[in-house]
Amino acid sequence: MKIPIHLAGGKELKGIGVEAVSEHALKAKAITIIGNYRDFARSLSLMLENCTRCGACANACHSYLGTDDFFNIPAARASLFRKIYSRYFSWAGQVLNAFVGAPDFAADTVGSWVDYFYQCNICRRCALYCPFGIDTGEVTIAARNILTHLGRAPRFMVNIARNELITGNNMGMLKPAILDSCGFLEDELREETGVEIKIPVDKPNTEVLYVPSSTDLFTNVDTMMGAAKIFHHLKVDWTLSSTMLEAANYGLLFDLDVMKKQNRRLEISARAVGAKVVVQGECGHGWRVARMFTEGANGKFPFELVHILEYAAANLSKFNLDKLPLRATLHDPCNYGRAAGLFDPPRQIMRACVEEFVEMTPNREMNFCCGGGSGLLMDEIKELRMKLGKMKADQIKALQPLDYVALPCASCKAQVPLLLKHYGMEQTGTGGVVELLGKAMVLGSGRDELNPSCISGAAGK
Amino acid sequence: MIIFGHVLGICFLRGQFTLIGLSAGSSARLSWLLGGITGSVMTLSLVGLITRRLIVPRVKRLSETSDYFELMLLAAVALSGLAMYAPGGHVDLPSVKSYMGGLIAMRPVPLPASLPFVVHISLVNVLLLFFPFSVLMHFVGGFFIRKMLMETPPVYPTAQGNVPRSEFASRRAESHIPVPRHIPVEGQGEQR
Repeated sequence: MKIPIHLAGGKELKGIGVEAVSEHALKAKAITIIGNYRDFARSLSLMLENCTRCGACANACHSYLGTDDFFNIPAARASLFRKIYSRYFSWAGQVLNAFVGAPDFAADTVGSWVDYFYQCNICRRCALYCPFGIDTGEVTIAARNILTHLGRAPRFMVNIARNELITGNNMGMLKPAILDSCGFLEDELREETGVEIKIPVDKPNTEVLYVPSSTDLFTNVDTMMGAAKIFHHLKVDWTLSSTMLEAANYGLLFDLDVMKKQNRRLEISARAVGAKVVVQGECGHGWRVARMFTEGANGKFPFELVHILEYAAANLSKFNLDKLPLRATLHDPCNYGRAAGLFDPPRQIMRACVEEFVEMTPNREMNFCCGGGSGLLMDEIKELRMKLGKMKADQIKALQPLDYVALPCASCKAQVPLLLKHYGMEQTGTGGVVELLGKAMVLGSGRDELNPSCISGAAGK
Repeated sequence: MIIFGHVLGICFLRGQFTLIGLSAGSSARLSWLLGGITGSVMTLSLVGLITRRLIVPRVKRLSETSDYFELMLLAAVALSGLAMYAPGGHVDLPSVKSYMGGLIAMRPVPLPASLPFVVHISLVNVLLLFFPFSVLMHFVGGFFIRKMLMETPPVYPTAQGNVPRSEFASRRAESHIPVPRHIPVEGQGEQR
């Protein structure tokens, strides 16, 4: 199936340092780039050459289950890459071609790669169900990288990557805009709690650098406010950094060069504010990059790196919490659970913050992706995204009536509300886990007197 | 089990179980029986795998010609081996031993004159030739993937002199990638 994704033009690609490749040079360039990537990533050869095409991954993939498209079976998706890879890089493929399924590079090869590797959310659930642990996410990352260097990348992601390279955040915000947003949030906090809570930016010689998702300053403001309350209550000397206001790192999803550059900012910005501890905000793949890729990309990270959920859960006993009257569930973002093993902290927080906490089935590392992961948040493929999120919607539907789905990931926060609307579950609210903690926290003279309705429609005693 | 059975059975001429206290006769009978059972199990499992490939539509569509070829080659090897159990298929084990010994010592010894044995050893040779280039290598590669997946995640802050996740990662971190210093900060050395 062709997907209506908008590809970036030559000028936009130049912004992230990629030259467009003309049609007739495509084949030669593609083979060179695959060869380079193969030398760089041993994992790619392993993931491609060991697949026996047993089909065990089919029912593990939310993309296949939601779209019912054969090429969305992880093994079939990887086959699009494997066929070309075997044809030019394996002995059997070079000699026996069709016998081992290794056809020549064809005119539609690149097109099919764009279509199918941008229907994969890199959630890596298939790796869990594969008898050998073959991670098709690794193949997708490789394929998208190769496509990018062939000048085929979604406009949406290229623009975000360019913003990251220039300003350090996805929104492309410069310092005046950041200060303005933070001032607005401080006013909001004062109105809500009656307490003066500061959101410092670029404050020198601070102990903690907080790296939120930049959307937390606009669409998910409650998460930012929740984090501010946490730091305020713990009396931590903290700050945001105007050069690194983004936990996300779109580079991982389509261009590892961008990933490396954006990741580099983490250490530089932490040094600039003199931080000892870097706390990452609610962002799925951002946490995966920071936790798992920093060392490989830019060398040892000289500061302590923790996630806000770990940080808050470790200090949970210090908060004065008033349980919210909600029936809530937790969505395990793929990049927290399967990629970084962050399962228990959000659960501890949830149990302390809501009256009824229910688990989704399946949960933890078996959880389904919401369908918005790996940067597939562009509007033009909204119809496809609803199909990708079908399994998630079914999971949430099974828990109805439900007040709240906690989504500790900025991509999920963008995707799941749309899913709930599409599948007729508007009554269920969404938001972050930190947000819940912020709402349940009793600050100053108490939550109830100053703020009678904490969560629209659901709370209020 | 099949590989061990072959090595021991041929080496000791079915006498391997005398080492654990069986009589020569019962050792030969046990060896004969175990060989038959493992051979049959292997054949049946291969038939199962081939059937699954043929009847599950999405697996059928995923399969390449070579997938069937590999399975059928393995099944043919197993069947030709079992053929030596059939009436009239008996092979003189001492002459097999001397033939294998000749191969290992690089002193050619004539093949035992038995059709099932000649077919069996030819198919095994084809298998061994094809094996390194085939997907059958997954039986080795699987362990590499498992190792890759089981690598311990990095711990922060990384202790000084501590090897990060793997040798591969540390080599990459230290040698290949020059670490640019955009913002000069004093006291960098102490923190590192």
